[in-house]
Amino acid sequence: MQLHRIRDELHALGADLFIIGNGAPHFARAFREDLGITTPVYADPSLRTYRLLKFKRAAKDTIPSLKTYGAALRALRQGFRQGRVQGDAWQLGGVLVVGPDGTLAYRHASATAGDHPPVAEVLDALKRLGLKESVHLREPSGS
Amino acid sequence: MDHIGAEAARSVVLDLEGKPHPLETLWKGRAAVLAFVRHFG
Repeated sequence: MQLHRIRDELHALGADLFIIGNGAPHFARAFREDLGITTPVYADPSLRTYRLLKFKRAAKDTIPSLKTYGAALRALRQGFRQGRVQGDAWQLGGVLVVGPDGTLAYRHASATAGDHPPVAEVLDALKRLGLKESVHLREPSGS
Repeated sequence: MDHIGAEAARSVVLDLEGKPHPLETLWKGRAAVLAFVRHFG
């Protein structure tokens, strides 16, 4: 969720931020409400976009065991809900930076759970596109 | 620079009401940063 925190900076560089997850749309809605975010969220329960964009699937030994969830469970008791995984637990994600003409300026495919790209790399990719902030703000349909 | 492949661009994502949208609509007219998460919960 680091990218959500720099959403204003992404806008200033001429880009909108979208979150796509692999669960059903009602999970996407709950995700958005639980986190209190306004970033548009979309769902791909079929995983087709993930496959076509060649995002990876986790090997079993890259998913934390129940023991390593000890600290996470303590945090969960302090205010987060613990529930079943809402989507395919083995599907890893990634980040794309795409220009208005479909130019793929940056691609990061997570190699393991928790493998996120440095924010600076995403910002640099946007800067290389040489965009200017648009006065027109689209109404996100994922909202 | 590379381009998003046509098949990926036309692949469908669902909005919060379950309405389908081609992925390419997310960057139509304006650049997009797409964060694909592992799962929602």
